[in-house]
Amino acid sequence: MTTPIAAAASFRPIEPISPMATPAVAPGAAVQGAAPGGFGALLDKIASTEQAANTAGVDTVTGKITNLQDFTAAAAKAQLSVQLTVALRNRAVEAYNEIMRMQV
Amino acid sequence: MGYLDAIDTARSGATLASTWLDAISDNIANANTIRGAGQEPYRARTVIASSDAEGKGVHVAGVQVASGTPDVSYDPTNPLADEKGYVTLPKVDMNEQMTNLVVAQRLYQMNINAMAAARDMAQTALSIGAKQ
Repeated sequence: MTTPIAAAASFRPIEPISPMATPAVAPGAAVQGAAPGGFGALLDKIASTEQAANTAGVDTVTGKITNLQDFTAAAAKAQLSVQLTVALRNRAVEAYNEIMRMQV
Repeated sequence: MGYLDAIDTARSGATLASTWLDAISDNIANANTIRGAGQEPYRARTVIASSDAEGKGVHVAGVQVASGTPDVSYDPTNPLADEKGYVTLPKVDMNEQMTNLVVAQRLYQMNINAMAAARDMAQTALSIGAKQ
């Protein structure tokens, strides 16, 4: 039979609250550093896809491109890229709003 | 961007079908092109397909020209006929051309359908978890 005191001693003592870890880089610098590799790079790619679709469209109506599938494929790719961007942006804003609604 | 690769692959297939259709159209247009006897006749052209590396689709590798000796026809009233009255007929098999025409048309349609399927699949993936 164990004594009540001995049973209580088996629990871990409460750890003191440690200070929050400071971020390795300043918030502003972190956002700037992340932009070219992440969303910024995606936006650049989207912009070039859109540009290609525009060029293909102009070439088609001015008679430079003689096969229509080149233009429609470029247009489909640009459409998908824009849809991807909008979907990502919507999710990001949604997540941000979710956090902003948090009760403190 | 991997999800766009299928569109480019299907586009290369559609371009091949379109080029093939050009060749068939040329063959049919020249089905009555008669040359003088002993001259080289018009010969039907067929597009040779070759696959691109790494599953990136297909491209036109070359053009095959129909071989074989051409038929001659006795047509003394033709200004191109030789002194015996013979002309050289084009080396175009119309049955083959019409069959190829259907195949090329269907090939084009299938590639466009594959392109649409790739687009629909990407759009479906984008709608995962989206609000209605």
